[in-house]
Amino acid sequence: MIHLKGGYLVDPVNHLDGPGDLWIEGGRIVAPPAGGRATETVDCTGCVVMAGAIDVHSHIGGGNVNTARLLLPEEHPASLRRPGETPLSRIGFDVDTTGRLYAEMGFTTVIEPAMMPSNGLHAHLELADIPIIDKGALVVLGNEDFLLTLLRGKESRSAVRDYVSYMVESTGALGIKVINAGASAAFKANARTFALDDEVPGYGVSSRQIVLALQQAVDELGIPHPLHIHCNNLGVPGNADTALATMEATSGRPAHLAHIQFYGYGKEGRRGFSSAAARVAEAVNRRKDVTVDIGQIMFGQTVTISCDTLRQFTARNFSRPRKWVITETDFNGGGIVPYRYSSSDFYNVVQWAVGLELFLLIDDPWRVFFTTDHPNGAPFTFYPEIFALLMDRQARNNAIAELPKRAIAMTGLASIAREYTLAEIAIMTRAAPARLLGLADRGHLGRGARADVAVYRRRDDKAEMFRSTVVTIKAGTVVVRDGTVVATPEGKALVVKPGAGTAISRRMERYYEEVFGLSPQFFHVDPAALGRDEPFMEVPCRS
Amino acid sequence: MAEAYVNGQAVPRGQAIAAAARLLASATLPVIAGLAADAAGIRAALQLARTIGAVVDHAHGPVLSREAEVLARMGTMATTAQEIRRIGDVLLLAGLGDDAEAVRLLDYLSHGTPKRIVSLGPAPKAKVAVALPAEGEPAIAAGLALLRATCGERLAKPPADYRAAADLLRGAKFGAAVYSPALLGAPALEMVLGLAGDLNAGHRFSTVALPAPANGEAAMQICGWLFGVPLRSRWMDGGAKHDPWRFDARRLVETREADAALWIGPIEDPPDWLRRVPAVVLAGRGFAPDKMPEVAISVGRPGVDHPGVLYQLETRALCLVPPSRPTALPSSAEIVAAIHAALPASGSGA
Repeated sequence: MIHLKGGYLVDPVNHLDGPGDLWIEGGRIVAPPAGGRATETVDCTGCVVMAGAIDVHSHIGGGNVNTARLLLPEEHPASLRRPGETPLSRIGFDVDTTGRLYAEMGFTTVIEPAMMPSNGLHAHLELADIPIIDKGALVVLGNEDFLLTLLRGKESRSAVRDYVSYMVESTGALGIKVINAGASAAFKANARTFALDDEVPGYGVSSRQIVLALQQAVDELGIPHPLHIHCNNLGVPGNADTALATMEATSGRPAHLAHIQFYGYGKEGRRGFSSAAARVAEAVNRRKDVTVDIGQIMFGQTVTISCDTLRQFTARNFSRPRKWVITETDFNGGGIVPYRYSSSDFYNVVQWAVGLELFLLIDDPWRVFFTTDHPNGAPFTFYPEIFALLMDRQARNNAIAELPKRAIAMTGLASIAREYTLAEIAIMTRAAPARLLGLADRGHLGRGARADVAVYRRRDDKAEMFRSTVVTIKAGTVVVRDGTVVATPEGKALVVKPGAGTAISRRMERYYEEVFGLSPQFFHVDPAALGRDEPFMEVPCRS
Repeated sequence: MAEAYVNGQAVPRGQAIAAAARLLASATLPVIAGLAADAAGIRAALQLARTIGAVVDHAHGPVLSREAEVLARMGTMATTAQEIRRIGDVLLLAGLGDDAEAVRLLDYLSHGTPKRIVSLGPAPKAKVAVALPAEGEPAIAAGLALLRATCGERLAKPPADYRAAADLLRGAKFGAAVYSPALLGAPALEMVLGLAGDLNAGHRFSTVALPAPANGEAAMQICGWLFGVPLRSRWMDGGAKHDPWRFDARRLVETREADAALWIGPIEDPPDWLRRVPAVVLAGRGFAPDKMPEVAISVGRPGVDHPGVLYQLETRALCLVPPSRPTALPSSAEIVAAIHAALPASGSGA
């Protein structure tokens, strides 16, 4: 039994925001024992105790992430001039480092948001090798011939629903993501732009129809996480209209809009690029069925990784260093484009401010999630700096003062006074993600909860405070002490099993045989192939 | 082959595992080569390499390394065989060769959408719209350069057959260059990828590469995620170092910079050069060299004796292949894990 003694507990789910003790046994948070005896007591005096953090959108494993490693061996720590300097400059880490760095920051569950079905087994093998943290993967649908053919044929809702269920179960997914719905298919037919009401050539199906069909299927199947939507027109000036139109289109059912920062742009000013964060935030505030994550950018070298092949093909012209990868499959495919966000670049500075504005202007911390879309906006190792920017107006003003005034003037950031409280941080990074993903067993410190716990030393410098924990506990095991990993237990992959119909399974068999001369077994993820005892943990669907 | 040998004598498996662990643990610079195994075997080998500070390279290291270098220099534009089968209408066979795998690939691609074919250099027998003859790698590279320049309208008077080929490529709805990296040097690889990239300025075009044999692509991917860098790497000083020349297994063994080798089969048997240093070999039942290595252990073949995760030509992805005739032979992964577990406590070189 572990006793976390004399800390300051922050757990909005159980209305804890004050001094208290925590007891852990058998991997769970338990009631204080009558005798009060612990095998280990951690002195938490001067510390804040929260549940382990949950990242809802971070590209940590799978074919595209790994291709980025192979594309950029020069970004591997061993190749850097001063490898020991700081973890912040690293994007080329191996899976072991990924798990360790997350755990050191007090994160214990991370969602890989873009598992292509064809790469499902690869993604799970890679995720299984990330130590400590639990993982979940969202399977990417919405650009494949099979689904588009169902929609073209105006087939029943149940056919689409069965298909979605089949894909989720076959690939071991926690939910569904749609990425620029229809655009990768349209790109194969030589389209170079694709908007919500554009039709995929050859199918007569619009992006809107694809999104709505998938959203409905996810909702009707009772999959806890709403459809995770990467909208059309990512990065395009004036694309706030796209975000608003997508919210309008999907209203009435839950929808999660990913990395909304990349859709917070207007067309004002001499350069035709400005912040539209206020409009987007206002829409999010109004539409209670919408959740968003931000995808904050931070300055420095990174690599953009996306299944949005159409967008990444355009972005290749901005690659820094000058190299890029576009792969296309029967599903989305992937685009990998190295990029360096510069604090002297007008557009990058506007992007930076848009992300912060959205964080600060969206009122409800239950509906806005903390992400950098790792590594697209910045490596996840920048999280501590972003916490500081959100929690400390002075830190924010200091950062703004270093940036070009002309760019900041195209945004509303300088006038925002809000500072996130510890409780709001706990909601945004713990309680709300658990609720969004349907993970009732975590995200809080209540009795019976999974003992995923992060203990931070309270400091005025919030970046310093959130850089590393005094103690991180994963499923009852102390994995980090004083900022250093001391144990590397294996995490689980979280999956849902909505119940796939056998009719669609036979139909997939026929389709794969006829079109590809293959069995759909090719993308089936058999847990036995992962070489672990019970690699999956099932998350119940809504009944 | 019996279940195991030490110095040519058949021994119980456990004895060979102990001998292998002693040999590897006492080496100053061990090399783990081959990696001609399923994903589990490769993964176990890389974990062992991390513990003993071994260099890791693949049986087809030269090809994989060349591809990795070109990828890191310029990136790539690629698609899957299955998608080209479905939607591809023009193929450029650019140094594909005509071995069994090339024939299998072209046959697979030939279904689905009807295809018109341009060939450059040796290719499987097929109905070809335009044939551009080229013998040998330099001629293929030069042919690709000429074709790329013709497609880009950079030549005042391109040869008529190149003009015809370029017209076909640029008239494609979705075309693909199909090539074998084993037959192309770095300049030709860059040229074929550059040609595909150029064509996308106004059309749709991509590439399909013949995967390296013996699960080489799987080895490259797994090294990518476990070490963070491509193969031809070594775990040392607490991290991975990658250097395609320095950590070339054959060079290390032939110069005897390395002082012990572990060959991970069984998909491919070790080459003769491995025998220049004391070696442990995991191989299939058919392994019968003139002279047995210091240690040899018989292992099952993934997809035959036991299930195994193997890289697939059609999907460009890893897939679990069930056994075609299951046996009780141990997998490479089991033997490597047993060697790992049998290392003496002081055997850590990392």
